[in-house]
Amino acid sequence: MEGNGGNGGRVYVGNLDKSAKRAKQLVMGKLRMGKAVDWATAFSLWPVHLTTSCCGCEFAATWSPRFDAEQHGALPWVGARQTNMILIEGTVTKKMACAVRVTWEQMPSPKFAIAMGACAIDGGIFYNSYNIVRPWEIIPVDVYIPGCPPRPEAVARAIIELQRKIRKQRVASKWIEEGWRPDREYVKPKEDPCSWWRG
Amino acid sequence: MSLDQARRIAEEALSGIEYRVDEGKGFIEFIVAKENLVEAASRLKKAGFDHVKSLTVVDYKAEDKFKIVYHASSYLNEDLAKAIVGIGTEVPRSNPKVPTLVYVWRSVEFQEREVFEFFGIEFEDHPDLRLLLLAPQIAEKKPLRKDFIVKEEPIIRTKPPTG
Amino acid sequence: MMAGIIDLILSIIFYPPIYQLVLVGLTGALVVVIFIIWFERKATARVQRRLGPYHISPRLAGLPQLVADLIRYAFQEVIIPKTVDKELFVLAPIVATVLSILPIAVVPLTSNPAYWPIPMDYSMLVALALTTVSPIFLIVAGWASNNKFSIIGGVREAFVITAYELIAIMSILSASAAVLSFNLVDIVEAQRIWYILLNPIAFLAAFLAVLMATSGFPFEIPESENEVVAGPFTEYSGLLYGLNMGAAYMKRFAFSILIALVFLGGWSPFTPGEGILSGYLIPSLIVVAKATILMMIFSLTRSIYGRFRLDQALEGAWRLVFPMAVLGFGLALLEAYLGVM
Repeated sequence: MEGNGGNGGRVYVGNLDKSAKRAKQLVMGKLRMGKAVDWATAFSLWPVHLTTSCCGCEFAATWSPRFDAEQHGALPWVGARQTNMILIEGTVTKKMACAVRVTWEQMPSPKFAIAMGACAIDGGIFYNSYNIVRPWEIIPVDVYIPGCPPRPEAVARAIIELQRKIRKQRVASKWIEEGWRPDREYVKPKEDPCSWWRG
Repeated sequence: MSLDQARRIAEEALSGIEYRVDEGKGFIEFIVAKENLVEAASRLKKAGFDHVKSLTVVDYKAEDKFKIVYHASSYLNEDLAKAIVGIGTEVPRSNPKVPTLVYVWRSVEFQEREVFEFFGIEFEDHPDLRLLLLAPQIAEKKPLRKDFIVKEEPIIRTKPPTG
Repeated sequence: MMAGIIDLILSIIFYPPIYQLVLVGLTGALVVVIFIIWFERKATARVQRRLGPYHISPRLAGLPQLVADLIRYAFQEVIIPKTVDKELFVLAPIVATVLSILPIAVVPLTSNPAYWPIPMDYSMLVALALTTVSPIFLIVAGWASNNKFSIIGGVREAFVITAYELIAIMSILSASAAVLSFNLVDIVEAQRIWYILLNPIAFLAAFLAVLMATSGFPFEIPESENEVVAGPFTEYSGLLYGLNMGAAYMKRFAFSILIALVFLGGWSPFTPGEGILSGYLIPSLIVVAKATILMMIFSLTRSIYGRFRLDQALEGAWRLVFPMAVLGFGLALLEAYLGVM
């Protein structure tokens, strides 16, 4: 995919990178869509179905009829490619860390992470276990929810806090402008979480 | 009552094999030599203990041995179903090798795999002795042995721990 | 001078192919789809005693939710994995979306011959033929993704096509048989009584066929999320996924317009006259309104039904719905013999 029509027979796709960059400059620079993007991203946080541990029950309860987090615009979705939020539910074991990181890399940016429960903050009751990973070691976490497990209201509160953060700090629009989020380093795991699998 | 009955049946079945009895409140374990384990287990199965409920390993670090106990019980025999009888053996920590009981009780296959990865005990002739739950980097540290040191809780102690 | 310019602009906007493809087909369908997805989520929420999308705009009961989702999709990163067939991967959703609204461009939205996009003699056949093209690009999307779930989803779509296509064509063509004409205008004008009352069997068969064609709920087989992740769309992200998701709803909109014309009397209470307003705009709005109501009924099935297995859906389609369509066709022939219409 190099150059417009440079690669014989690929004229109709063109150079996607270049045209995407030009479109980005037009929309974000001239049309000033940044505020709308922040608004839209804040109210359309779709979490991906990835249940790492027992807090997944509370995750289910949060979207159940009684607590109904869909009123905030969040809709749990199956495929990682179509979502933009990951909710880490409780402790992450070494094997699950691989799944978390792979899912995170499959998601399109701008994307956000919420760590749920005491285990996801610093291990909880498994603080000295040989088999856990702290979620902040493998992905950049935006909001932490304490509790063992947290109540569904707390999860809804975390979604609201994340919405406020996105709209106040303009994370989403700056992310699109700059290519990476402005308020955070790129989190790269110190050791490859999937090394057990790759051998 | 039912435990006594189960004990009598198990003792009858194990007659001729040298064994030691470990018992306490509500449980009974027959500890046999490593060579007799398969023979004893198959005799227990013939006597009516048709499945294994759990497989336990205890690491006696001071005595330099592992105690491996299979807890057998019954579904079909109603009297035996109320009791759980342990059949086990002891191996030295330096050479933890035990004959497998997969061919006696099929249900122990995954439990033996779990014991293998957490304690490093090898089950000879096991059909599929691979890691079950852990990643290989952790499994080679054998995390449930006594000499595996976990991170201690950072509490200020007034005097150094003993033992 | 000003009047001349306004006339020119109006004549360009209301030039039938442009009006029907761009205004009704693209813009109208977008608005209707935004409304319908909101309605679907809200109705599902009400059935489950929830609120549904709300906090985005409490005054409008969460109506901008779909706008937010759309903007979010439009600005998200479009991931094109290394292993996919890039050209087909990018083209398939675009072509599928365009093709799925193409039937709207060939149906009449008025009886005034000045505002027909094409000669109407065989318009029924053309519209039906165009509805059968777009599913191919779902299969292409699944195949180009080079992902096991996508390929399974695409193959499921291919299976479902064999089930619904004959039923849809047969049940909608039964109106042609009753009127003895392939001209959609004739069919609409002949309905002194709406055809749904004369031949409810054919309408039911057409309804079920459209549900199958657009992955409506009891037949949501290609995209069933607890078996194959998102079916043919598993690898799609951002705008391309939005197009893919929109394509199914656009297709449902096109089918709904066709059914509104054939079974629900088209622009029926209104008699189109001369001029743009009464000759074109009002009748087309009536047709779109009828199609929207039909789509609302379609989307209610999401909150009511579970999902059939693939084999159950195929068996039901061939053993139950296909005989129903044949029966409807026979009824139509009987009506033609008796001269009811």
